[in-house]
Amino acid sequence: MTSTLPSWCPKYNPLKHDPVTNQEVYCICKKPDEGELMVGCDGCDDWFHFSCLKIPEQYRRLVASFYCPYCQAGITGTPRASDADPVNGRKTLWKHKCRLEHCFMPCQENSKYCSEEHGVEYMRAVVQGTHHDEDSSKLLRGMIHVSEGDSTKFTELGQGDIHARKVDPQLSPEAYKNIVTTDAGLVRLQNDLKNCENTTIPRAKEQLDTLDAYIAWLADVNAKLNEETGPSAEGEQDVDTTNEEKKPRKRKRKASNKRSKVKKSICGYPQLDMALPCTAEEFLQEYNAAQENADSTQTELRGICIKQKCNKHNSWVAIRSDQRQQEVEAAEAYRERLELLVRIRQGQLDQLYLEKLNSEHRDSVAAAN
Amino acid sequence: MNLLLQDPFAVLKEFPERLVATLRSPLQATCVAYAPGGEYLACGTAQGAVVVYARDTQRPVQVLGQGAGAGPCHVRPVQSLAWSRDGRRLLSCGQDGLLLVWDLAAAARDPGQGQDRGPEAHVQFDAPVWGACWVEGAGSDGSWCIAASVYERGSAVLLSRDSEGTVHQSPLDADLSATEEDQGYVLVCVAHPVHRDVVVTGSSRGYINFFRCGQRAGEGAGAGADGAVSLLHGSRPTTSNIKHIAIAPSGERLAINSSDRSIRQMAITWENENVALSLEHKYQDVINRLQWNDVQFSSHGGDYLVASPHGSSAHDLYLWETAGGSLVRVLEGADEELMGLDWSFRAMTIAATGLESGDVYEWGLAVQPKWSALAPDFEEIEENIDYREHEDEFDVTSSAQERRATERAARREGEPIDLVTTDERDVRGNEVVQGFVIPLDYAACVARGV
Amino acid sequence: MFTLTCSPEVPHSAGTTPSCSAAKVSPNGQFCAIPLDTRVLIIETQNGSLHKTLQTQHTSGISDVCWSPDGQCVATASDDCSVGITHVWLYGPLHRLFGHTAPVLSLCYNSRGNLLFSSSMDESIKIWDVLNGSLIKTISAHSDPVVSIDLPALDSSVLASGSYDGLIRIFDSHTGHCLKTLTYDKDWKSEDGVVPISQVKFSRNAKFLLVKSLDGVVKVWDCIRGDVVRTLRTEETAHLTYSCGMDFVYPESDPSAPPLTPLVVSGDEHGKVFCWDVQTKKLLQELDTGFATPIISIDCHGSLMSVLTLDGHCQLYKWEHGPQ
Repeated sequence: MTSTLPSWCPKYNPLKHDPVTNQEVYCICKKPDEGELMVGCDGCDDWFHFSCLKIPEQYRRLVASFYCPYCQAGITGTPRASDADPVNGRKTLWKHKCRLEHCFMPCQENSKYCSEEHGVEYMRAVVQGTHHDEDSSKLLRGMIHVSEGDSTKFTELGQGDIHARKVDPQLSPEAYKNIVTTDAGLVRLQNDLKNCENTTIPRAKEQLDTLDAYIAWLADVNAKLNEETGPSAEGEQDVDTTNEEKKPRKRKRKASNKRSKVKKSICGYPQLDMALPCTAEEFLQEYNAAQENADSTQTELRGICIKQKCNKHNSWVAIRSDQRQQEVEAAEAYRERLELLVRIRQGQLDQLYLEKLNSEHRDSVAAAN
Repeated sequence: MNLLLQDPFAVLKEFPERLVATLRSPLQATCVAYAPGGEYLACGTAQGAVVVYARDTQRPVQVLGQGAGAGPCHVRPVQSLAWSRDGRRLLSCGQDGLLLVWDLAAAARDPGQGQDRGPEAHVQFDAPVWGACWVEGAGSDGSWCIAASVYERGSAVLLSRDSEGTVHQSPLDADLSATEEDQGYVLVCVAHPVHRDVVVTGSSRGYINFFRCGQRAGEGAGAGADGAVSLLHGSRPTTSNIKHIAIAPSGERLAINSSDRSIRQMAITWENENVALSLEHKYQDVINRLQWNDVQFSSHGGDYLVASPHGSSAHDLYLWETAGGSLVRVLEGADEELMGLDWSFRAMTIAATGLESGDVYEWGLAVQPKWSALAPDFEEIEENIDYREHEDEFDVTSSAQERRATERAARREGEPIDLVTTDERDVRGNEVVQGFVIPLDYAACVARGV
Repeated sequence: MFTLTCSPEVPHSAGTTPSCSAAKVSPNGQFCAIPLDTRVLIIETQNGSLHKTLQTQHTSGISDVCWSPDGQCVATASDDCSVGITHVWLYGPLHRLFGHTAPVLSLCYNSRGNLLFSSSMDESIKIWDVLNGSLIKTISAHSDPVVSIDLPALDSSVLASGSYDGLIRIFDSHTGHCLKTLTYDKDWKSEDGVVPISQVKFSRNAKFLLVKSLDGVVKVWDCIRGDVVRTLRTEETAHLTYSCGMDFVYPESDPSAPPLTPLVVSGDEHGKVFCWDVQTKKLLQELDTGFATPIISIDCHGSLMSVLTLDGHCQLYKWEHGPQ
């Protein structure tokens, strides 16, 4: 719960004025201000000596927020309502110090240094090897070597995608063939990708087109049906806005079903497939013939539902369009995924290949020596 | 195994007691089904995808449909789900008229194996599918048999897949329904848990029928295709819609949820091929006169019955004790109307879907940690007791006592031990089965990482 | 009798000893994974040839390796306080799991392969989600490094842990609650203090626990009743620095013949492996690897046993039930 006071800190004393001199007193030492460096507490607004709190004076510019030992222990300071944890939230916070060892200035934003000069100074020390960090100076020298003294190249180092880099198969065609080209996993993935691109996606798209053609045919039939029943029928061809509004789809499609404003229309659900049975005119002729028949309880013509109000096949056009659309999207997503996996596998194999080249190189160097 | 070491009083409760988990996802769950072993929970969603959660991580292990893959999947809400008995296949029916069979072993197969990742089989009906059940699970040759109830059909449909992968369709009661009076449309079909080839159907006019679908022995086309269906029982326990039928795992009890706002609990007696039903209890909400959204029995003989009430003001599950027919518990914690539910006997949890949010709520047992397990010579006590030291408490143990302990230890060293054989039943009396393990989709985790 | 089938060679530069720490047989028995520095060697158990080398992302040596139950991945525990999961056949490194604050010592998957358990010098056990690499739970219930954990292969509802604090605890793997503590009796303390536990291993049916402690004694505990049912010791008393490995062996037998009784194997610091009949406690074989250095890992699969010595020699043995 409440953190305790550090051992060097005396117990809290609410004294504000010296009882003898009536001077204002501050800090844990309860002495008046004599010009010594002090820091104000964000919790109780009292002032404290750096020396009394055992804070080195060189940290004076690094204080971000300061809380005195009593506030940290929860003895003084009014808890603010905004604090989730009024006691533990009161911690002295420090700014980041400049990377240069002897500099105690705070860092600039998005930098490890207080100023540009110090950055240059630090780097110079690293390059000259006066800095004790052996690894980073080696790395830096390497980076300078690779970038050939070009500063833009230098800053771009390490930003590229490691997989995006191409390896050169010519360095060791034999090894490349063994490791990369003939890898069973890669070959399988590539075959699958080819299969997906050449078969699955075209097939899905073809089905979508067949459906579109059928829907257009059906709209035609229904439009002609209306023309026949009389020109009084309003809203001739264009159709089915109700469905479009209810389920916004990615592809706008002309569609027609029994819900359209057209007074007379058939359900048109095909029992078998989406193949067009005949021209719209022929179909209408047959339809009319069937209707004239005494018992007009017939609900199917050439495998197509001709009911005018059909609950069973309610909104089948929308469902079927969504399905076909979904199939195309799924196939495309699958292709993307396969492409990604091919890329990952390729990257892994390239790495193996490079390792192999590396080890060969090392062996040959060792042999030469 | 963990149950053997738990406090028996905490473990051997007969029904879940408190809300233990809430599964939230961007997809809205419409129905739930536990895998036979209780390790997985499948959720059908309003968007059409079927999400299979692992219960131990509370995270999806498989999302079937609507992702990368090939083949058809639901584009309208999933109406019902059914796991095959071995837990490997999942059956989903949608309002878009699709009935899909998912092979969970194939669904996570690595790409690059020349296999599409879509459903193993699909049947497209011309109207919504209300529900389906497994009549016969997949054999080693990949054949199976399913019964389904489809919109405005007077008979359930029997689908059987032969070893070549072709699915045959036939009406379940082709020659029977013609002779009988109009029974309405079949709305529900469930498989009998004990007589596995028996399908129980419920109709829109309150008829209930038991069909035996015959043995598949030697029949290439599968069950039912040769007309080997026989009616075992037919009755009309109610005059209104039968919405659900639940059968207790022992197969001796049945509950019918119908739109006349009551759940009828009936005993099933089975004599040779004669089935008789007798009404045991009728459950109604006498005050609010609510309908029931879903109903489910507890394990074994179905000693308890749980149901979700309909209506925006009802947010709880009701649990009755079936022998006396009295309400024993109201499961609280959800703040919305609950729709589909399922009870896992092995995990002792009940899951239900929320109507508005589509979240899945799970009730279970909350077993408290046993602190004395950390140091066995400590004892947990209810309240402080004044401890009196025994006369000989800190005496050097007598040699006789010590000898007895050594003898006991020596005897234990000589007793035969069995390191291999596992128990056939867990402490709750459920059969221990090694459930199917859904393979992990490592490709998905690579794709996510990049 | 165990007979040597092959001695796979662990590649290393001349004059140095390779730093390997474990040799684990894959679930199908075809491969053996041996961590070498920050790499993992996959060796064919048929002939001991190197099948492939996996590069991990660890920055320090690997102290334990564990196959996923589907045989697709290996998990690695490293001294850099992290756990790695690497897909062996296709995808390479999948996850690096950070959270432990000290070197990770032991690993175990649950039977469905979707959870990974790790134990560490930081005295805790952590549970990770394998699919997305997130930490699910931390169990802290020991007061010394947790050197070994195990979950039964068939029933992952329990977890056993052994620690240098001399305690063997059994946890509910789902809730993380301690269910039982096994070492808490008179033999808890020997004359010179607590005997640290070095390895734990469940029997196939999860009812018994094989426990090795650093005094070289191997005991079979009854997990339910909480007492010792077998004590297996060699003649000389040892004060081990390494666990020296131990495991149950379930020899594969002719399906028509009666099943063979399970065995217990345990290594010592002088390159020997002892093999007992677990029913009769009879010492069946005293196998000499030929290297007079401590054995640091033993792993068995069916009749197959892989043995690894401290100086990096790996040997694969096969149990043949000879007329004795």
